[in-house]
Amino acid sequence: MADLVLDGLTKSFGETEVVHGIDLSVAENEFVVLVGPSGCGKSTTLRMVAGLEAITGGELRIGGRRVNERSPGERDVAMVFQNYALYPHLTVAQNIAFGLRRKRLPRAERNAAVQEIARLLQIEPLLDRRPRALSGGQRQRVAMGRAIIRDPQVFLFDEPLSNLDARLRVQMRLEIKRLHAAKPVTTLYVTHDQTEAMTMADRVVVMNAGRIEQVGPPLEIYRNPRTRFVAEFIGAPAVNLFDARLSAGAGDGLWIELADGTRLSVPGSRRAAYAGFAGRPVVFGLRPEDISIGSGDDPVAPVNMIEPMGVETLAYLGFGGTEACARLTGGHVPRRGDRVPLQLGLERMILIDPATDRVIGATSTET
Amino acid sequence: MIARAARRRTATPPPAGGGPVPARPLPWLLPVLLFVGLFYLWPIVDALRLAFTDASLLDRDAAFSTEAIGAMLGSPALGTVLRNTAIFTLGSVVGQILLGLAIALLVVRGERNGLRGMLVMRTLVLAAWVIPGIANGIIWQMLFSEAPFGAINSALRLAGLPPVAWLSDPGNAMMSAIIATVWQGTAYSMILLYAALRSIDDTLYEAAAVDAATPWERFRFITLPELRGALLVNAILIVIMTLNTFDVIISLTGGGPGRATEVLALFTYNTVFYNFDLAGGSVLSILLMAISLALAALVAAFLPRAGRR
Ligand SMILES: Nc1ncnc2c1ncn2[C@@H]1O[C@H](COP(=O)(O)OP(=O)(O)OP(=O)(O)O)[C@@H](O)[C@H]1O
Ligand SMILES: [Mg+2]
Repeated sequence: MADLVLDGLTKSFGETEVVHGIDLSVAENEFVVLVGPSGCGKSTTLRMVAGLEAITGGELRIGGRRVNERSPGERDVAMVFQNYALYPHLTVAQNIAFGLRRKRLPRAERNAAVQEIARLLQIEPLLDRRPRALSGGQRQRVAMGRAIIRDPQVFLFDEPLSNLDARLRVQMRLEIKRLHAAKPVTTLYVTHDQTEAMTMADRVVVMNAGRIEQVGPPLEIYRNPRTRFVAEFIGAPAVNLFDARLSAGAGDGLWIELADGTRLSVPGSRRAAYAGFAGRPVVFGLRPEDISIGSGDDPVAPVNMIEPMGVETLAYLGFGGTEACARLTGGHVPRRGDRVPLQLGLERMILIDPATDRVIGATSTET
Repeated sequence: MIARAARRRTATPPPAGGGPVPARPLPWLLPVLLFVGLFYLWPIVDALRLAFTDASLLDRDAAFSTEAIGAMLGSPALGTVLRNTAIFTLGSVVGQILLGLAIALLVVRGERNGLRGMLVMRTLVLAAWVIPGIANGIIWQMLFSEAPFGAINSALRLAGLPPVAWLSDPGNAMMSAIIATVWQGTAYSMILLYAALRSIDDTLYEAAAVDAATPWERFRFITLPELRGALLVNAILIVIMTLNTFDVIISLTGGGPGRATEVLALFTYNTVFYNFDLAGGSVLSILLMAISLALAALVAAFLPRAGRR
């Protein structure tokens, strides 16, 4: 086991730089997820770590040693590919054992190792089959088996679940997490699915356009996004954002004025951070679960659409000059066309400076 | 009404491969049957008929006779010719496949690493292939020429090596014929194998790289098995093409010295056009076809396994 350090990694294809300096350290046995929209450079970054792309600039260290110039095979990393990349004419057992060639184990020992991995991944009955006779989920397991058996320093995943159907994805997500708990390995996992990132990661790295936007534990990223991009990217349904204006009231009071004239009082705890922006346009953000049905003197909004999800209901409300999504749980569920009073969890609001797209007063987190 | 018709149509899907089969297929098939019959089957049938006659090129009014069959199969030259054919075919086919594979691997590898000039390389190799066989024979005759201007021997002399009797020595002539054929035919194998190589999933090689596979292991565990089908198809096609080759040889050595490079196709040609023995030539061409079919069937027997993998 070893830690993994990306020190100012850059990558250019010809003239165009697509990764602009990634600084990240993954601690021993930590599970770090790289997440970001398509084309932001996640795969390129991961492939630089694997050695499949040459590193243009910066330094990559595994276990404290610079490995920029090492070939993929010399880095002692294992990788699981999106399309699994199983050797088509080798059986499952041979595929899994492929990574053991170098160790020159006696046959019995090697078979025992394959058996153990197969048991761990519950693919024992499949050992004699060819990859082509396997389902997507089974291939995924074999690909993981081939990686695990090598007992590598670092585990790399590039969107391993994106070819699976939704149900299987949830199941495999759990299994990978379980495997990591049972056999911890330093892991860098790439996905464009923020749910995967949130559910699996010890720490999430949000990337955008070849740069890291924010690094932190999932809930930290969710609760304290540092940029508009992170706020919008993490969380489903996405955060509600409203164009607004911050205005100073009597005393040290601060008000958020929405486009439709609604005035909301900034909670006391936030006033100090926001005071400097009084009189300026801002973007006001509130997560769907921070909007609930209130009572009496709360602002009233029409219900445009309802999406029952089972345990919760998503309500789309005409509010703040736009449409807002509220995540309602239990109790009374409004119907389309109702007008409901809204209770807003303003202690959890975020405020974005539209000039910089940075979240105002975000507590800086480590990188 | 329309809805009902549509529903009926979706309820009974048409048989695979197109619309419904007409009640009487023969009229529809007739043009194709006529075409195939006229241009492919008729010559074969005619050759078969001629084999059982005493026809000569000068006198086509032939009577039934099995003399030609006896004469040809009993001909003392036939043994030598068949041996030549076997050596020539084996050497050319193996040479073309190995060289074609090597060049295809080089080109693909060059392209993967962004090397320039790979298109030029492909085009150059292909250029050899579009040269007519007769011209190819003449080109190589000049290269192999043992006169003072012979290109290869001049080069050998420059390198301080003794000249080689490429064409006049019966022991070397076959090798020279094979070299000329391989040079020309390699492009075909190269293009076929190049296409197959290009269609191999790159991530397989990436997975192998991460798994620290050596170049030999990559070739052995990925490239070769993935190429299996293409190699077999390639082998069938060039075996047949090579068996039927005589244009290169006729212009390079004319089958000589003696009978040293006379292959079955050339022997057939000579029988008809030098000895005017149409019946004998027909016997030989039937023999050639039988050998082609047998070899093709032999190689094809391996194909289904490649398809199943
Ligand atoms: N071989 C290449 N040559 C040129 N540009 C490339 C190459 N590979 C990737 N890029 C570019 O680099 C950028 C990042 O690509 P990358 O594959 O890393 O994105 P990604 O974040 O993995 O996206 P996705 O979620 O779609 O997989 C993209 O703009 C892509 O066009
Ligand atoms: Mg990618």
